[in-house]
Amino acid sequence: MSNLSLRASRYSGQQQGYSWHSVFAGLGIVPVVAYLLLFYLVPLVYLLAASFRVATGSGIEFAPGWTWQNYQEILSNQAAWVTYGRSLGISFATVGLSILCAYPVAYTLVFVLPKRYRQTALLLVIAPFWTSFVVRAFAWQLLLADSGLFNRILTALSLPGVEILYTHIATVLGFTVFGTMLITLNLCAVMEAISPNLLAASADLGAKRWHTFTDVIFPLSTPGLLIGSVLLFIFVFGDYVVPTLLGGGIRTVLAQAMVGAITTHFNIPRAATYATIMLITILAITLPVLSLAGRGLNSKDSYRN
Amino acid sequence: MNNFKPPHPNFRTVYSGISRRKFIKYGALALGTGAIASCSGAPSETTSVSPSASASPAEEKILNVLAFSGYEEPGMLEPFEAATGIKVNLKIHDGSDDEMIALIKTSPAGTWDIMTPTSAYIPALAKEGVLMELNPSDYPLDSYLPPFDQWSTCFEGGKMYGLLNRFGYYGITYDSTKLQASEVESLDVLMDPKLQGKIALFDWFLPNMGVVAKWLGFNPPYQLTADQLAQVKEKLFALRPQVGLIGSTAQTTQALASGDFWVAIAGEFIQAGLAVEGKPFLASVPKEGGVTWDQAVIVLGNSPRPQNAVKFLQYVAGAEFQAKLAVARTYYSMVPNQDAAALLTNDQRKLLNLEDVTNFQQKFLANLSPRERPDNIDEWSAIWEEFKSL
Repeated sequence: MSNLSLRASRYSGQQQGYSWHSVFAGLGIVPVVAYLLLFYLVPLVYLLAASFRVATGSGIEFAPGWTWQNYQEILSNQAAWVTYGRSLGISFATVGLSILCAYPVAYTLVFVLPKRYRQTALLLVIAPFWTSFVVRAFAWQLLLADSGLFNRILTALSLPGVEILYTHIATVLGFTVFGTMLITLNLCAVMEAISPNLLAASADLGAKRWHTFTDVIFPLSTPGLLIGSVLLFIFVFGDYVVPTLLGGGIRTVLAQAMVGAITTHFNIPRAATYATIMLITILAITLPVLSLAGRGLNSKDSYRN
Repeated sequence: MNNFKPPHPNFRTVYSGISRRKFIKYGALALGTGAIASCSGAPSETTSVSPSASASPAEEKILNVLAFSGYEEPGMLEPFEAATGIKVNLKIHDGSDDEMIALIKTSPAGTWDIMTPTSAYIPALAKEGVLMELNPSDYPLDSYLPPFDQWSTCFEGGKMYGLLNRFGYYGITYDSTKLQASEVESLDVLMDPKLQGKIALFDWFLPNMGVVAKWLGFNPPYQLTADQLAQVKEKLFALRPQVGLIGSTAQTTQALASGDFWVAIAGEFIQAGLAVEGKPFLASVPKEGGVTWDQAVIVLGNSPRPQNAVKFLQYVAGAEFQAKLAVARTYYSMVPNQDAAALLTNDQRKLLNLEDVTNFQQKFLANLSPRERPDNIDEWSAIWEEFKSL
């Protein structure tokens, strides 16, 4: 008890003015700020600055002066726009497909499956992702190849084979497996938090299961859906590995164009310009979605506390 | 019932509504999985020991080597270390020549002693003063197959700066169960309708575009006028529907091994490994010709250990090392020291076109052009990037 009052007096003292304690506590933020400056802000500023320079010689040194040249070259290049559109298309297709796959999984885990099995089932959803991303992509190659397992099954069923590997159908499939897991986790988090009182009220008011879903569960699960979708979009839009291993390095996406600028002749400004375009696109799409997820207040009673 | 409108949730309140433990649980799961996914997507490097930049006047018994893959395999460098007592800190480079050179240039002076670029990059590096001049009499060039003893891109201004120790060619590698030898005599086979989507290309613009230039009869293939380069672009783009994959060496090799791809613009570096595994792949130089690839060993001008470096170059120029490098697991290659050919088995010599070393230049190299680095390399790479985006 005396301990509590001591603590209370310390805090009340703190409110009256600055104390060594608060100064000391304030210093605690320094490492965090330094970390953010060093590892996020400095590279970001460098990236933006580099995109307004022009590479010379080996690409490491920049020509003097600032210029829009990289942006002009990329934005006036039709092939670059095709690449950009392809990246967007693959990202949206992945997000859409992942939502379709993830929603039933999350719903089943939270509302259908008995609670004692939930942890195990979640673990099963996540377990495949403990293996390396690259290893999984190679495994998909084996499944999707013309002579792979998928086509062998089709052949055994006397169905015509399909060429999936090294097309962006394979890319979207590869991403969707990851996306399903990501969105399932986000959905489970919000679905578990929906107040059971609302479900009971809905039932009391005579709603059938379907109406409870459309009018209660689905609207309340949209924040999880939106957050998961944004996370997935950011990941897919910027990824280089899956389009390369499953898409086949042809019909390139934006991330491949960026890597190409480095690998072909180490053109840092060109790569930085692609990266900046990616960054602007991600911000332009994620910020409105996040604000949508944050709109429509007064839901405190809708979720468990 | 229809009037029932649930309150629309707000992100912040949703997540504040969720218990902290639950949020951390799901957040950690999601982030952890994402982190695993993104981290493991980074290109891997087979690295042994990170190099040290320190040096003493008496030359520390170490050597920092940046090399393309092959050098890290068992038995490659151990004899050198045992004979000289010099510890090799090897870093294997997975990327392009340009990235390798960028890495060297951005490292503090004295970090690296040795690197193994394509010889086409040597003259420019020598002009920049980045390389140490080599004394030809220090190396067994008498045993080298001509013209590799005088390989032009290893020299600049009459001085020697690089020592070739591995080479090969880009021609046609093909599945012999799908195509006859007579069909692949000309590069025109690449346009055969039955090869639609069946061609795999190694993702490196200079050799592929060099072969296309040869196809059009441009010789030498890397010194083109604007009009000739436009023709190369047109021909390359016409080839696009035939191409089903543009990938790394491993990816291209695997695509051919699966039987789903029948042809690659490549030589023994892809074909030999397949043939050894019993896959029905052959490689040939078409009548229009092909281009070579090579790797040379150079010593950085600011190497703090030049004597160790010279010993290393003597070792990698020797027959014993080159015989191992020729049949490295990473990929097979031809090697310039003809004494190395004697150390290979008959089958290996046959596979690597090293059966008749006395007539090698006339018979084998006649129709191959050295891979160079064109002055307008940016235009070449822009064409390739556009080709890949089609």
